[in-house]
Amino acid sequence: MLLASGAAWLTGACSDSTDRTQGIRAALRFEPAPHVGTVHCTVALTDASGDLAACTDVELEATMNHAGMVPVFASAHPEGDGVFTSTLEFTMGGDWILFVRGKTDDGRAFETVSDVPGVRHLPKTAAPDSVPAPGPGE
Amino acid sequence: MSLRPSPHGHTALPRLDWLRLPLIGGFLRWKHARLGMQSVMAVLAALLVVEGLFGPELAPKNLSTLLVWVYWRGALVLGLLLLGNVFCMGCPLMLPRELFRRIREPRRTWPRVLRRKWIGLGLFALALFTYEWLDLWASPAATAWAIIAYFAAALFVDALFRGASFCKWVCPVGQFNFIASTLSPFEVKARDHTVCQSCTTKDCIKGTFEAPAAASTTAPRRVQRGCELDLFLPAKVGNIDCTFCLDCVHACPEDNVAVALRLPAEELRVDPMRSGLGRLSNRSDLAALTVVFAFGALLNAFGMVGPVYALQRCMAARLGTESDFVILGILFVLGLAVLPLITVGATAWLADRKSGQEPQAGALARAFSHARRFSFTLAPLGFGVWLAHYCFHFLTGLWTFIPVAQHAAERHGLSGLGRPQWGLGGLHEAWVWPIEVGFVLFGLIGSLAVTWSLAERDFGVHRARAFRPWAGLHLVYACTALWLLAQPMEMRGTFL
Ligand code: SF4
Ligand code: SF4
Ligand SMILES: [Cu+2]
Repeated sequence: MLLASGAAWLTGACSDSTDRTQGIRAALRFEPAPHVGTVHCTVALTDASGDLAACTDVELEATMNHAGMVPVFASAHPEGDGVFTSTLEFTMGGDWILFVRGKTDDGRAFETVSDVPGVRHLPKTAAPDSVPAPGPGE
Repeated sequence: MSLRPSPHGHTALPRLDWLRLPLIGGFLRWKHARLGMQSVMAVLAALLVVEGLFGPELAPKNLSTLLVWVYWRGALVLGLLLLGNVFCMGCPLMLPRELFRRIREPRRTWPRVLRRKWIGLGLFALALFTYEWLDLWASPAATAWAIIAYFAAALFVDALFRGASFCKWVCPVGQFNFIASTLSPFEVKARDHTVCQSCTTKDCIKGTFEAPAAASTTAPRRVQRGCELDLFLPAKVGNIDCTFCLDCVHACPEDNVAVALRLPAEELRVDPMRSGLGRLSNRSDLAALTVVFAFGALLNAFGMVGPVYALQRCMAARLGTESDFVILGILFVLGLAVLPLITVGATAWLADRKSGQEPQAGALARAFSHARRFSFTLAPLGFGVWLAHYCFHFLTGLWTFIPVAQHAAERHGLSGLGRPQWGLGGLHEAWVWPIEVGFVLFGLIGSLAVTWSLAERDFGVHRARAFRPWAGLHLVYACTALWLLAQPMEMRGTFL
């Protein structure tokens, strides 16, 4: 029984590690710089050739890599030409992970992953500048 | 009702005995109750290993990391607080050795020189270190390997040595449970000591043997184990070293064992000869274990707040190293050895001097034995901080198993549980904060009460002078804990 459930788990997991980007890359820009609290995020989606990709149904999921973390979701509004804007709430300091999910113009579901490291608690007085966060692979 | 401790540490309390409860009592008296609990836990452990190795790589979406680091740790400390050492009672680590011992009984006994807690203490510190170093809370695969390694170690030790050698001398979780369970409200104990006095068989420690056939030359076969942790019921005091395995319950022919209500921490206020332990005031190893238990609680909480990263970056810059291992290693040596030695040592020295003892040769030795005696007063505070920290994760992530289980079912093509509801979290941090403060204060009150009792016994009229320095240490400890727990949580993959 253990073996059977083990095998079932294994096969279930294999689909998990496939590349789901469909060649899409996401470049992120935060306004203000990522900090604990509400942050505006601009996402530029490009295809394999580096051109802006017109995608649909785009949504963001921000999470952290530790057990018990409750992820944060936000829908993204199309601004035309593969550029989307959204508002995210970082609920905790530390290293965040941002998933961008949506559909390509030919209807294939994609998912990209980006790191948003070192999200800090804002000192009560400071007004942060706008700093772009690294995109995938940077 | 008066709450007066007897020399054995038994205060008169209303009789409440798990074994006399309807249903639960019947189940626990069933000879295979532990095996039943262990089997369920072992299946769960196997699933966690498979999920850890082959499930989602992201820790918050993996059942293995979630169930181990959020739920198991929370349930562990809450079980200790509300009941007793219930994890050891159903511990799955003991299942492989039960099976192995059906094939081959080990012959060796645990070496005499190792019959102290030093190995267990070292492994407890190592477990805390490994947790930080390998980011176990963030790594399902590492969590799975930790479970596998733990099972292998338990089997290895208990395949070589007789009795519960792994539990008593090696297991870090066990050592944690033994110290924490001094604060538990239930204890396995003899129901009526006069019955023990007239007992001739002592089955609870020796085990029960089948009466040999009249002409048989073979040794009688043991049909029920006695206490494998060397705790002889009539002389057993408190919960230290008791795994709640209930072997003694099944062995006692007089049905004279109870899992009974008692006053938490009371066992720390008395110092009789204890079966399997001797006097606590002679046990440097147990005193050191208690100190590491308490300072480990602070260090473990420190590991997840912002200031630790600032400190680590600063240390990295000063030392010119980027090695997590080195920086963490230094932090652990400071936090678990240097700081406790200085603070506990200085407090003991001060308390000893203040309590009116003439300075004389051997003052150092006296301060040492004073430190050894009073180190146990840190147990309630340490437990309070472990409770506060683990309950924070448990309560703020209370419902997170629902979406993670839904996600797991979905991955395996089972749609019955519905789409994962990722928004489900737990209690708001603002609600959990008073609970955390409550636990730390509960620990502080316990530590102060135990200190006062010990000071009264040891120093009579000078008790207040001996009490004050220790109370000071406890206050500083409690304030540090509250400050740490008040820091916003920060989670980093790496600090550099
Ligand atoms: S001491 Fe360790 S191995 Fe033994 S029952 Fe407790 S947790 Fe399990
Ligand atoms: S047999 Fe020993 S360890 Fe087990 S419950 Fe009895 S006293 Fe505790
Ligand atoms: Cu934590």
